[in-house]
Amino acid sequence: MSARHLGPALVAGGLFLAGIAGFTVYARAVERRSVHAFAPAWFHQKSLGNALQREAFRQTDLLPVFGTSELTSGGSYNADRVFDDYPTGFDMFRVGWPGYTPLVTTAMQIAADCPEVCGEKLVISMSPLLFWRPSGEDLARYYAGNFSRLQANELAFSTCLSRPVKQRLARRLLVYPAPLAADPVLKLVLELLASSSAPSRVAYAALYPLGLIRLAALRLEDHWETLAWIRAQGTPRPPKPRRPQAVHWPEVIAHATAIYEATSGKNPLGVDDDWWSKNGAGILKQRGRHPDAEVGKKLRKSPEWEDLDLLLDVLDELGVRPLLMAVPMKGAYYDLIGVSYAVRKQFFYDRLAEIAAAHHVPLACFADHDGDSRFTADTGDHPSPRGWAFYDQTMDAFVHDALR
Amino acid sequence: MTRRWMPLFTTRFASPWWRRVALTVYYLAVLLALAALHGKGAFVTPGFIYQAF
Repeated sequence: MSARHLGPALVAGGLFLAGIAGFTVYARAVERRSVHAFAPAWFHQKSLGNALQREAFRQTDLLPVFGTSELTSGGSYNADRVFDDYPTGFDMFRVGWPGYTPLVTTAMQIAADCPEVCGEKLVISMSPLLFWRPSGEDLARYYAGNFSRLQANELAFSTCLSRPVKQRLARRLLVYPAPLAADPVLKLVLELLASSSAPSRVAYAALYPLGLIRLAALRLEDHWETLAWIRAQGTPRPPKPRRPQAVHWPEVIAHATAIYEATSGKNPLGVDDDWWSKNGAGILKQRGRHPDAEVGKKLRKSPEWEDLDLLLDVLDELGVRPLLMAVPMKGAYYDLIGVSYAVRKQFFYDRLAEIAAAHHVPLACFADHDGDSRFTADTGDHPSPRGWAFYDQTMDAFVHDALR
Repeated sequence: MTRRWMPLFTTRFASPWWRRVALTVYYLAVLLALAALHGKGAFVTPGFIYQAF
């Protein structure tokens, strides 16, 4: 390049970088102003990107909760309504997307929130169905639908995670090759990470600067998409007045139960009556279709146990203080389809407890509600108002270090 | 039309200051075009049918 072009090119580069810096400052200011208003919002960029998630972790009065569609049920007893006016000093910041989201996706989401997530509290909500119902193909499809290039790049170039954990994550991500087809550089980096050879380490180090540039570009796009979504919502609602007050949980649970009983008394499984009228015949046809041997084997061999272990390793390295929550299995439904309590206990509740204990994390899997037919409003692990009242109580106790 | 503008361009670009400004704008436009071309689509995922179980 001739000297005549060098000066203008440098000035243009400087202006471009200044523009990017200005945009980032502006985007973060908008996200900071909006994060409380959109704490309960449920949109894909919120889980695929990290702009709002990072902002939520910077706030002391938001509790990020990662899960799937179970986070949207429960009507007026869902935490997004119960904690809406911060009665006990916090609100739920909901992250997730419907479907069978493999837990390695959650590990990616959270790893990509570093450093903001380090030392913070969060909740992981899980559905028992994830551990036995979806086939390998189902999991691959849902994984692809929730795969984030930003988050995969964040963990590939993370300085917050040790090489062994990054290596395990990389190996797991390579099990699902389809989403990587669009990003050959990321695929190469994951392959290098997955390998233990010395040349791979050198090649990874050589690609590191390129990775940082790509990360910067992806983060910018994340801000852009998040801002576009926020703008599309129009003028944000004014902040709701905060009303600190003591919550008497037994009363809340009794009230939620009474409300739900009124709409779930006309069917044998304690599900929502409207839901039963549409799905009841299909459910009854499943009688005895899933014997212990089949479901026990699926539960035992589910790849999600390995993902859960990996997720907890990631959280441990980040210094995160998690609460594991799981919707209880709907005993009446499982009895009907042929899965005994012994199998449910051995291969789900006990296994969960074992993994949680091994990682020293608190667990609320509500095993004592297995026979509580009104905890969930359908057979898809969506808590009813009663179930959500228990979820709310547990989250509240977790935030205030009062878990028993 | 071209004939009318040509003297204006010739005069302007004879000045080093204007030439620098034009080149700066040109490079900035290239950078912005590259950003616009490559800075989107990273968050597009294949749709899946959500089965409400």
